[in-house]
Amino acid sequence: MRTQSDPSDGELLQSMVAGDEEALAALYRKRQGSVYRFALQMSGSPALAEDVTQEVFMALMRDGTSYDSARGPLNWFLLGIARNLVRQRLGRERFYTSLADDQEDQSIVSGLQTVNDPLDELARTETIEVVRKAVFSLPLPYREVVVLCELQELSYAEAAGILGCAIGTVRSRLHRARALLIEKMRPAQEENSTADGVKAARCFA
Amino acid sequence: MNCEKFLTDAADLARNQIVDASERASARVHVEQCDDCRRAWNDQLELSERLRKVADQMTSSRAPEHIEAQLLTAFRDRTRVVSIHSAQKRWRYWMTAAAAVVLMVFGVLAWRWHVASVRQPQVEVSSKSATAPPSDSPKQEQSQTVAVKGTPSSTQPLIKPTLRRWLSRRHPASSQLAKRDAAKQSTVEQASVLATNAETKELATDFVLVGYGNALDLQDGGQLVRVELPRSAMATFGLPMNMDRADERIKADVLVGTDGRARAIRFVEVKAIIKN
Repeated sequence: MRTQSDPSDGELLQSMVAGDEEALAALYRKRQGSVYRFALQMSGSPALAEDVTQEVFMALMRDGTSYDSARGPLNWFLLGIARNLVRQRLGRERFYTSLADDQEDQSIVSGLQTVNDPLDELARTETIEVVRKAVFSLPLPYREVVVLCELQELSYAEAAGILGCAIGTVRSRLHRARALLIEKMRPAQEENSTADGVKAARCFA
Repeated sequence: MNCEKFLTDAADLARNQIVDASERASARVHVEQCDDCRRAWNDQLELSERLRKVADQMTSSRAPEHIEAQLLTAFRDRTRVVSIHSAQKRWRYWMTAAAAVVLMVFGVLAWRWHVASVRQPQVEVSSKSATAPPSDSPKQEQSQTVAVKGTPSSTQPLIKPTLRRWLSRRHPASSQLAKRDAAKQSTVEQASVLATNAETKELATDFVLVGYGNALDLQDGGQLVRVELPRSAMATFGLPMNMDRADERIKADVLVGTDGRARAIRFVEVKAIIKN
């Protein structure tokens, strides 16, 4: 429930457009997380996610008046800008191979909380890594719906509002994306199970 | 529920998107009966679990602090730039407005000069033509000169030569038209001046017989016809004439007999006499 001291996104935006720096700071702190996570989950690159986050809010500063509240919440608007920017950047950078992939992987995985059992921790990290790579290997339309509906945990309607398509499209894309993810992760599972079998045989031998 | 229906709804079931309890129950029953669907269901559950782990792991991910600082700096700079921009815009607005006013004033002045230039050459040409008209005699010249000098039009101020040259360069067609109109106007003015200030008087020679006619034929009567001949025709009838003015024309009255033949001719000179 919103109180008097908790202005809405629209009010913050209006104040920001009027030149209120505090409003921009408040809006940024409120919405930067989802924008940054979306860009990070879409690209897997913290550097790209930082750039996109900054560009999204720069765009908001520049064209804040173009936001129409009748078309959806401000968060949709921001994620829509982020989506376009990520697509542009990925399209531009698809021909380049980053030398810092391992470093980025470490930076993403570093967010894991340490648990009691190191083996559980290792297994969990591996699982997350497998899923993450499978998500990154999806075509962009499928990756978008997985990120929005599964990782950002938005509803079909919200995802449809952000992507600018029908709810049925989101649903069908998500079903297809999940099927692809299951297929992509299955070889890894089978490989793991085969390795386990070999280990077991060796032990028995 | 059949396998096709189950596989269609499996993802939604795994994501808890289907809230219909009966549908969920029938799906659960189908999973227990069908091995393939049970395997697919397990895959869906496992995927949802893994995706949730990834989502949980990244929930706390946030952009670094320095981005906020950079944004705020950019916002401050932008505000400053916008204010400078707006000041420049205001300055440009007023400069444009002033330039527009100046242009309008110059436009109006140029138009007025143009209108004046169309009028003034008429006066000037008329005055010029009035002061030096082609005349038959020096007296007439003098009389016309005197007459024109007395007209009010000659008292109007003339356009400065530099401006007239500029206007004639800018609008050659209009200046030629203006001159033509002025010439016409001068003729009319000249005629009106002569009509008002001078009386015409005709001086005629005696009738001279044409050909071998007899003087008695003149008694038969006939008709006088006013014609205009070259001055040189006077010489053919033995009358004195100024050879310098041989090309000029002179009026003559021809007496035409009842048979249609010219009997005699006299030369007439029209002279203007000034009233006052």
